Formats: sequence, structure tokens, C-alpha cells
Amino acid sequence: MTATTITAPRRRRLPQWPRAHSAGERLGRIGAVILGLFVVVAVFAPVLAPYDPKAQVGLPYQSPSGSHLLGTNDIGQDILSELIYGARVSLAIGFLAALLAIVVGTLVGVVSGYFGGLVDTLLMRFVDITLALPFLPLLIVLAVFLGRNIRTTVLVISVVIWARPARILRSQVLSARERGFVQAARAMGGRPAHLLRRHVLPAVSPLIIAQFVRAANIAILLEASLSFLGLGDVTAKSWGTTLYYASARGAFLTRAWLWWVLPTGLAISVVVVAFAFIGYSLEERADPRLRARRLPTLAQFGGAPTLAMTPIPGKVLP
Amino acid sequence: MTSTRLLEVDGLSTVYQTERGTVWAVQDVSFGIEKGEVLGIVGESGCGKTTVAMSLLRLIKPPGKIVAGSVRFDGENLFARRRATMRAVRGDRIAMVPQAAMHALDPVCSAATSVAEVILAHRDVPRKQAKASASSLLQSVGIPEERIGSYPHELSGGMRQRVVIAMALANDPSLVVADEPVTGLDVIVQAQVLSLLSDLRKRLGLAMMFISHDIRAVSKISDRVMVMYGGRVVEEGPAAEVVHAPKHPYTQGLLAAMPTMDGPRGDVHSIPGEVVSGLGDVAGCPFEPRCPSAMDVCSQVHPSARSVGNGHGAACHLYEE
Amino acid sequence: MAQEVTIATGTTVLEFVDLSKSFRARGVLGKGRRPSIVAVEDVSLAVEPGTAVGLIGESGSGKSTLARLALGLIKPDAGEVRITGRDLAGAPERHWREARRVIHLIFQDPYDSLSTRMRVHDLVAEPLVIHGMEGTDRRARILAALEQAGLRPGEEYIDRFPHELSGGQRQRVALARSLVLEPRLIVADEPTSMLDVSLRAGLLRTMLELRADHGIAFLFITHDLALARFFCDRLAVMFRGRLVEVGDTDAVVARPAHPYTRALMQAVRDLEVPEAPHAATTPSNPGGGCQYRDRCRFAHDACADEPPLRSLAPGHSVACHLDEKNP
Repeated sequence: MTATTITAPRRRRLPQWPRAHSAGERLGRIGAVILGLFVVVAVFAPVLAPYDPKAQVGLPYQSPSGSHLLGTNDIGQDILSELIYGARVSLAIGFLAALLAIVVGTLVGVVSGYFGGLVDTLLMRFVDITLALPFLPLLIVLAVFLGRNIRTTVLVISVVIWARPARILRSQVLSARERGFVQAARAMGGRPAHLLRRHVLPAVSPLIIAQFVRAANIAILLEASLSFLGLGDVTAKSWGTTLYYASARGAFLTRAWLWWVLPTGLAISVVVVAFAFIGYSLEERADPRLRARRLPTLAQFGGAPTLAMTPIPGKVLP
Repeated sequence: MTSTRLLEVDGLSTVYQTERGTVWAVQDVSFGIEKGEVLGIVGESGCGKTTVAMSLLRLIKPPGKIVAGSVRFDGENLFARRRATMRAVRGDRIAMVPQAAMHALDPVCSAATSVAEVILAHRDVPRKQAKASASSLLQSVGIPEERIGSYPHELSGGMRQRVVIAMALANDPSLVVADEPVTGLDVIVQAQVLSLLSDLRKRLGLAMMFISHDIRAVSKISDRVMVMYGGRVVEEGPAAEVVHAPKHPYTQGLLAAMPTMDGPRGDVHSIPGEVVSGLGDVAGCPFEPRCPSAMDVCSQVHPSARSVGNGHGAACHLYEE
Repeated sequence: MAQEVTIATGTTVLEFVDLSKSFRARGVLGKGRRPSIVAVEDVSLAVEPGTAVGLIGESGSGKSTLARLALGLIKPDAGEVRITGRDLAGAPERHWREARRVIHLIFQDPYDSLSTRMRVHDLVAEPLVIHGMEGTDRRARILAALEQAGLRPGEEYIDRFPHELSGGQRQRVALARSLVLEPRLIVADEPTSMLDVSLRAGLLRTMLELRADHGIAFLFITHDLALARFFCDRLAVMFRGRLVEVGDTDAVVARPAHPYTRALMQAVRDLEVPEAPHAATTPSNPGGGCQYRDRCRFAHDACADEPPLRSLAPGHSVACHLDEKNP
């Protein structure tokens, strides 16, 4: 005999966060929280930092003390303040470079994938060339050539990272273009602009976002690398420049690395990991195959057809 | 009580946990298959027929779960085995041809290789021998010798399905579970494959569980037919009887919904409403909302199977004694 | 000439004239020496207003290609595609966009042809948006289309998302979407093959009502001969890109002339086939002559020449050498 489920009327519960459905989503939330914290620090830097990072507020090379929690650098500036303000510069450069790269990459990928033909071939050769060049030497050459300020840093980083998203988006657009609802819109008389705006772009937007997160991740690391090599704007207080001066002044050879290098290095690592977590959960959502890890929705379970289909070449049975 | 039946399923119930609650994919399903008998299981989407097959082969993974029932195969309780040991049964004594199998053939394996792999998974024989057996098996299902080394993309749908059937027969199983084996094939090819299956069954004395939504294909080669709806068995009996003298309103509706080549052209009727999705444990008959003969009792009490003929049963309140 | 597509009642709504289309398999760098696949060859077929023509064929028969040719989604290699009398075969895309107000396409897969991000309201409104016909009565038109498609009351469906609907309901939404511009012809590409059996007839009955009440013609593409018999006035049977038999439904079913049609009917009726010599599996059979030769029980010398479509009886034509010898 099968038992009927009886549900007692529920007490009204306080509003709660919806439960995470998978490990990916949990990670994504953790990442978002961490990143959120860093953004808050960056935004409220003037309030949170004990000193102006450009001001000489103590004797140089001091180890951590009550008034300087992370000690002072070679000119006597407070390292903790450098760290806090550094969040601003590093995150800003990272986001801007990623934004620029994604805008260009999306444009190229979508035009290439949707229109095909000669345009596609030309654009993709360009992408291939960019991808084939080793990125660090390219980065260095461009930075040296274009000068060392924040604007060029952003530009240089985007030049290096726009190509991969372009390629990935192109292949997504190629498959989105063949989806039934896009074909249907075309069969209704839709113009390319309409199809792109209404159907193709929305279909690839989860991927665009996931690629943006990835790009931002890489951009922050690249900025740190560039600045560490002294090729960024050495007057700007980014995490990378802090490390540059630390290295140049021999912090790695003494105990000073513990407060001059480690906290900044950790900050970079933690932000990168936070981005990775966010990217992981976004990619899980964008890729329906990975979604199998999550609980199925009723629509997915109850609606799946199991019926006859004449095998049209290329069609895959559900 | 010892049973002579090859397969004995008793009170099988399988559920799936979803965001919206528990779905009873299969509810209290019981049936049996004799040695050498072909049982056809018919139903539309969501009726549970595929879940029945997966359950008896213990292929149900979370969020699905078998919550009740037993399966006896050749006298042995399959649910009592350690799960890992089921692998020895599958592909050997019970062969499964899953849905859309012809689309799931390994693209880098030739037909001969695919069949040989199945043999090698269960028998300790030299590779050459397995390949030789594969070759003769493929030819016996109608694949000409020159195509045995072909890859899936070089073969038509009908040929790929023959390869899949050869893979199922590779280790001389006593039971073949075929899930929609002719769906998706051109109708002439369907007829050819059905004829092949019928032929093989006679020659090898195979028992078969033939699952499909197409009641005519099913009744073509089945000895007995079982109709499912909403996770439950609604009718079961000899194939000819169920198709020509159906007793359950759903079966009647299903047959009336199929257009024919003879008879009045307009004599095709849908069953109103939507096919049930199986959410929750519905008290009463799952077909009640769409049934033209529904009575008050139908929405309250689930009808148990009642005999309506010789070896023919229907779960319907219309046939109350 | 950017003129309005004139809709004259009585004009043949859709007509293919000697239509041919091949696909060349691409080799390296987009060119190649691969053999081309003949998808459609010398097909001539007409659909009169308010009638339903069934296009029967199996995989590789070219029926889906013909559907796309009808809507101008692909361009033919030769021949004409006439929409209400006007040949659009070589026409620029903007003329086709005009024509797509008058002729619509319903797809096989209701789970793929509707964007899951849009509500039913927006899905059905899309043709209006595309053709710049948004007006104050838009919601009323959408509700009317939904009800004509069998989704009653329309209010209950208009704000839903596709994933809240079953396959059958989604297909009706697709139908409503085709109706909103009051088309003359709907090309339906296997509209029921992904639906549950018990629901197929319902959708087709709705389509029958549309024919009767609104005079909409249908080009009904299917592999299911029995379904076509139920719905269509005329049947056109295709095999490997060629039309092998065309005629009034009752005539073709009562007296199928082409061996392929006969084999199909036997398969559909009894699920049996006559034993045939082994079929070549690739559709790009370069042999020439009748394409059905290698599967045909009655093949003889004359079949080395491709048989033209000739008239057997008024309204019934067949492309076969068979009855020439014994009428």
C-alpha cells in the first residue's frame, strides 16, 4: 500500500537565503563574499587605511608595530595603507582591462560566428595570431613601447587577453545560430540585427559573463606581473608595485618579506581564488552538461519526450 | 514459492526527488516474463516504462531511488546482490538495448570492435576469437561482411541498430531489454528490424522486454502486452487481445488516437488533457482526469488489477466484480 | 522591385517549379573535391489555397530541404519558388522577408523552436514586432491567435514561460505564433513527431479547423503516411530528392503506383516489408537513372533512364517505368 503524504500547515518562516543546489553554487557564494569584501575595502580605502600611502609617516624599514601593523617600506610609507589602497588600483585596472577585452572579444566572436564567410576567416586568423604569441613577452614589449602609465597598462593587458573569449564566443554563437528558435525567427522574416539582439546575444550572455570573470582574474594577475617587473605605472600604488619595490629593495633576502611581501601576495592570491570560485559556479550554470550535478527541475524530468523522430542528419535525440 | 518464470517483478516502486517534491516514476508494478516469451511494455512519456527497465537492472542513481519491490531473475533475487556484481549480469545474462543506442555507438570503434568489446568484457577469450565471433554475429543480424569494419558514421540508422542488437546478443543472454529499439528509424527500416528481432527470437529462444510508445510495433512481436500510465500498470494481457479488444479506457483511447491506412480517414481521436507527469502520490486512478468513463470512486481509490479475460487484466473500476 | 507581395485569392499559394538543390561537402579551406549530395532534384509541386498537401519521405528524401526552400532560408540551384504567383528563387533577402508574412514555418521540435527566455505573449508577438506591426490591439491579436491554436482560455497561457508547458501546448504556441499575421500557408515540418501519440490527433484537428475557418493552406511534411492520410487532401511522395508519386490522397492510398509508395504503405499498414535487395546506404548515389532501382523488386532495363513524372489519371502522377509495359 502506498502512503499518502500529509503535510501539516507550516509556520511562517523568516525569509531565508535559498539553498545552494550544488558544490559549485556554494563555492560561487564564498567567492562572491570574498570578492565583495575586497571591493568594499577598495571603495572605502580612505576610511579604512590608517595613513595616506604616499605620505612618509615613519622611519623606513620598520618591522610591524602598534602604529604600523605591517611595518614601513623603504621610504617610510605605511605598508598596510599601501595594501588597502592597492586594492583600489589593482581591482580597477583588472576590471577595466577585462571589460575592454570582453567588449572587443564579444564583438569579434559574435560577428565572426554569426556572419561567417570571409569576415570570419580574417578575424579568426587575427585571433590565432594573437593567441600564438607568448603573452608575457608580448606584454613586456607593448608596455615598454607604449609607456608606463595606468592607461597603457589597461590597454596592454586587454590586447593580450581579448582573443580567447573571442574564440570561445564564436563557437557558442555558431551553435546558437542553429538553434530552433533562431531559425524560427529567421523564418518569420527577422533581420540579422533582430536575431542577434533578441536571440543570439541572450543565448550566449551567460558565457559572456563567465568569460568576463575569467578575464578579470587574469587581468589582475597580469597587472601584478607587469608592475612587479617595473613595467606598470611605478607611481601608482598597486599590489604589483608594492612587490616591485619590495623585491628591488631586497625584502626577499631578509625577514622583511613576512610583512612586506606575504600579505600583498596573499591578497592577490585570495582575490584570484575568489574569482575562480565565482567563475566555476557561473560556468556550471552556463554549461548544461555540468548542471546534471544539480537537482533536476520538474520540467526537465517530466517534460522530456521519449518519442519517434525521423533521424534528420545532425539532430540529436533528447 | 518457486516460480518457473525467467523474470519476476513484484511491487516495484521507484521515485525521483526533484526541486518540487517526490515524483513516483514507477508505482507498485508487478509482472513476469517466461523463458522465451516477449513482453511488450507500452506507454507515453512519463509513464515509467524506461524507469522499470533501469530499475530491474539496478541502473537507478540518485536522485532516483528504488523504494519498494523485488526482482527475481532465474530464481535469484537481483536486489539482494551487491551492486558491483550486477555488472556481471548486465551484458551477459540480461542484455540491454537502451534508448537511442544507435546514436551512442563509440565513433572510434568499428562495428566489429564494438561487438568484440562486449564479448571480451565478460569472457576470457583471446582477442582474435572475440573478433571472429563478432564478425559472425554481425553477419547473422544482416550486416554484410564488407561492412563489418565500418564505423558508425559510415552506417545508416538501420545498420547501426543492427550493430547495437548484435552487441546485445554477444554473450547469449536469456533476456533482452530493448528500450525503443525501432524509434527514430524510417518506417521501412523499422519493419525490417522488427522482422529481424522476431527471427532472432525464434532462432535463439530469447525472452524479450520490448519497450515502446508505439503499440503497433510492440504488438507485432510481443506475446503479451503491458500498458502503463502515470507509473502504474493499467492493462496487461495477450498481445492480440489487448490490441483488438482493449478493456482499459486509456488503452482504448491510445488505439483510437492512431491513424490507420484503412477505415474512415477522419476516425482519429486525441485523448483530451495532458499526459500526467507523476508528481506526488496521487490517490485514485492516474488516468481519471482524462477518462471518458470516470466515476466518483476513480478519483478516490486506486483500482487494483481485475481479470477481464483469459490472462488479461485491467486496473479499472469499470470491471468491479 | 520592392512591391508588396500581392495576395490574390485563387492564385496558387506555393509552387515549386523544377526545383533543384545540392549540397557540396566541404573539404579543406571551404572548397574540395567531395561529391555533392543531391538534396532535391527537379521537384515541381503546387499547393492551392485552403488545401493540405502532404510531403511524405524518409530521412534523406529532401523533404526538410524543400521546407527551407519554401521559406527562402536556403537558395535553390535551379528552378522557381513561387509565392502567390511571384517567383522569389533568386530574389534578394528583403523580398523574402516580405513573403514570410504570408507563409510560415512550424518546426518539429517544440522544445527548441521556442526561446525559453520569453513568455508566451512575447513569443506569439514576435512576428508582429519583426514586421513593425505593433499596435494598440496587440494583446487582443495574441489572445485570438492562442485561442485559434486551441489554447483556451488564452489568458491562462499568455504570461507563462515555455518550460511551464507540455510539448503539445508548446507546439500550439508555435502554431499561434504562425497565425498572428494571418498567413495564407503554413509549412509544418513534422509537427507531431515529438508529441505523445494521444495528443497528435488533437493538434491536427486544430489545424483542420484552421483550414476550414480561415482558408489556410498547409504543406504537411511527415514520414508518417497514416497521419498524412488523415490530414491531407493530396499526397506527394519523395525518395532521394525526387518526387516519385503525387495525387489525391484517396487515389494514392487506394492505388499506389510507385513501388516505393507500395513498400511504404505496406510498412505502415502491417509493419512488414517485401524482401528487397540490399539498399545502398548513402543518398549521393551517382549511378543515374531511377534512384529507387537498387531497392526495387520490379527493376528492369528501362530503369537505367530516370523516369519522368507522368500522369496516370487526373490528379495522379507517378515517376516509374513500370506501368508503361503493362498499363
